[in-house]
Amino acid sequence: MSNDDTPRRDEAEWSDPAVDGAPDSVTLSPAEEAARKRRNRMIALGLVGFIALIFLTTVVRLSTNYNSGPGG
Amino acid sequence: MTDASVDLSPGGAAKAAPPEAHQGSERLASSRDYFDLMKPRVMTLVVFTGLAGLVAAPGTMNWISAAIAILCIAVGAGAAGAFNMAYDADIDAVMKRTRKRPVPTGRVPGSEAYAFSGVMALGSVLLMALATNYVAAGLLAFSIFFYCVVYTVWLKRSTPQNIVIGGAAGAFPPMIGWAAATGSVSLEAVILFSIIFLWTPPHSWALALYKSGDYSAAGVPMMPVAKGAKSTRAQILIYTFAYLAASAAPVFIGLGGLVYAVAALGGGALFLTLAVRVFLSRAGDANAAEDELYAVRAGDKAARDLFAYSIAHLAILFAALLVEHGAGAFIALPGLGGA
Repeated sequence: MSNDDTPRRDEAEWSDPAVDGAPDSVTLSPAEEAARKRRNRMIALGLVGFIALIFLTTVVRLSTNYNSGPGG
Repeated sequence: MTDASVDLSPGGAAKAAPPEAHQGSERLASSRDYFDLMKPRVMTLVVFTGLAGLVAAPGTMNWISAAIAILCIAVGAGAAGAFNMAYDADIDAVMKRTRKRPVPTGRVPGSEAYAFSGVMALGSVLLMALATNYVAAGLLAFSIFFYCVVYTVWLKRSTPQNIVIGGAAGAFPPMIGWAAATGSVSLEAVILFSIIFLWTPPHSWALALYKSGDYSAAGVPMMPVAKGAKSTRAQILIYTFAYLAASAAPVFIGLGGLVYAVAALGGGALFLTLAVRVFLSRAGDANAAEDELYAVRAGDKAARDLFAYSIAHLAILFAALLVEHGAGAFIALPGLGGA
């Protein structure tokens, strides 16, 4: 099934940042980079904390269920 | 919306485009900014009431699971607060009380605040389900949804009843705490819910009376802006009676003992006195400048006092429950049973 009105890939207009003059990356100032590193560290800490809480919860639930015996 | 007009048409104040102050300025947001997104002051009361609900509930609970449940309530409330700050950045930027928040100042982009809120909400609900039970997790999820969608998106800008209905979101924590401990919702949990639910109108409207200029400038149809100060003062008094009746209820069902009774009745008498003082005052009538949260015009002192004391009274009530059920200080009142 073909449609003659549909432009072919090589005919379509593509935006090229290099041609259009748009920046293809963001340059951070030293202060911004330091702030980003601090935020990343906090995200890492948050993730580790979340994993630790999941582990702790699992251990608590397993021990509670084990102690309550097969009859519940 | 930066002029002093208030849009009270159906649909209320229009949502303005989110601030884009972060574009072109340095991204220096710290972890403190993200912590501030979670409204730590509101979170404190939420944690306290949630803990009281959990401790007052019958039965025993592993202390690690209990601590995780409280953490989940705190993070869930923080997630809702972050969503609120992201969505309301346009009106926060207009109000003196809120214009220094992380999103209106551009320190945290709105899109990141939404993402932060979503991750925190999801994490807190999942962890609550794992650590306690699905009833508590479901209530936590519903309370976050209620605060974000029903209150923030729908009610806040469209009706002066915004905080009356929306107040339910802040009333859930003790019920969630109770459900975390017992796996169900009982009459006691509903009463704890109703105490905070009925406390919210006099508390919020006392603030709105002496900050009405702020709300008016932002186009938020708070009761003093939409119906006037006189009507608000009367409604504060009416809701105070309802709140005091609800706060006395735990005594009659055996949930509150002697300590709680003293806090509810003695502290309630002072609450009523302050509410009557607001009713008889001209709080909210003047039209002078407003500055900081506790800086008020001379005529508004009664409203400021009620606002400040309302926080203290709610904290005292739930502290009494904590002392009675957590520290073994429960003394049953004659003829009223005991928990």
